[in-house]
Amino acid sequence: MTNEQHNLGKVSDLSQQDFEGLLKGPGLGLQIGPFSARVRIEVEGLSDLLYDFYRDHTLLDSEIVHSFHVRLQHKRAFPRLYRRTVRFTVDGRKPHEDMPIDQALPVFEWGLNLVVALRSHSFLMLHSAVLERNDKALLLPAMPGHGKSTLCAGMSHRGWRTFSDEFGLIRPGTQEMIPVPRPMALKNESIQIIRDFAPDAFIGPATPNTRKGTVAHLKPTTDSIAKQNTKAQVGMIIFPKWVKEASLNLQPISKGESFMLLATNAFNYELLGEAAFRTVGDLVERADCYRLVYSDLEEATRRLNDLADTNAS
Amino acid sequence: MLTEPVSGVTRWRSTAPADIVWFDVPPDFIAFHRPSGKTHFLNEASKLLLNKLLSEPKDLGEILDVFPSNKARRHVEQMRDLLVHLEGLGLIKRA
Repeated sequence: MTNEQHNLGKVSDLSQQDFEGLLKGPGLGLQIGPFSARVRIEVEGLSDLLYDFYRDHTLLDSEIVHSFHVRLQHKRAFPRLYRRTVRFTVDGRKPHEDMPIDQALPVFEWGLNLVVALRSHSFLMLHSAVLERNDKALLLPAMPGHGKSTLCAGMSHRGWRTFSDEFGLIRPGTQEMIPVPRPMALKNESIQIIRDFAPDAFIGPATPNTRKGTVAHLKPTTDSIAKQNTKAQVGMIIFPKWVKEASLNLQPISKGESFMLLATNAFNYELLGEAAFRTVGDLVERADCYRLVYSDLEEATRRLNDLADTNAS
Repeated sequence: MLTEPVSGVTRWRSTAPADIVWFDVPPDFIAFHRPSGKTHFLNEASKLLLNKLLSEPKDLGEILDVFPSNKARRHVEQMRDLLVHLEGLGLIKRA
């Protein structure tokens, strides 16, 4: 059965009260790219935020076999009962310790990331932002701290469709990247950079003192979510690195180096073995590969827009 | 893992051709080694050794005979290091 057969419309077709009722009660079925998640939330105040972030996502009925069941619950930390925490569980299991309740939204989003990373081995999962323009996907693989999510967030507000700021998903043996549009985690200085860069973007409240510093989430554009079933072949792979006050530098790199960098930035390359090797080879062979150093987000997005448009013409 | 010293009579041969899948993007060659599940970034000399020269057992001298201009001591050492490296990766073994 396909998800289309179980499509109940968009989250925004529900009232906020009904949305909250489903989250607190039997659970809410959500399509998130190729995944179907059943979500239950028992944390006061979080449902309004989730309604804003997921309002454009597709609702699924309860008859579908979900990819995973996730739950976020309010707990009191024994023996310090005054300390309020949240517990994230997936299919009844607790993958990590309970976290402070004021971090409920980041815990939920990181929990979903964890579930995808640990459970989705029918895909090759590249640690990469993915965007699309002119029907071609752009991969931005990078280690944490290299400005991948900030660049992805900026480009998503300069004419690119967002597939993901975190997961480059592709089924081994195929050639198309798969969208999985979800709120993007902005960290520390990036939050204000994107607020200034895209004043109309929906960015949630900043959560300080998390393991990754201060975090705020950016909602993907409505178009990105509406087209979450539309895949795209890769056209470019660019390895970005943000360097303070650096001049923009975009240089082609060899396919051999690109292969190794891409494979190194995959969550499950070794697990998939030869299938991953062949898939990465196919991606690299088809793509133009570059290394990008940037400090100015506007300049970088303009340069990448020009490059994508030149390649398309 | 290297367990014995390399002597003048040490002979090597490559792993079975079917054990390696290649992704060739000259001047780089990337090899997936099926038995170990590891991926290796190799140069042209390594590919030549694995695909051709060591399909039959050869010692260092026989290998260097294929490259007559490389008889200089410096190249002997480089070739010996390369063989030890490939042996460590499990791509060649002592015959």
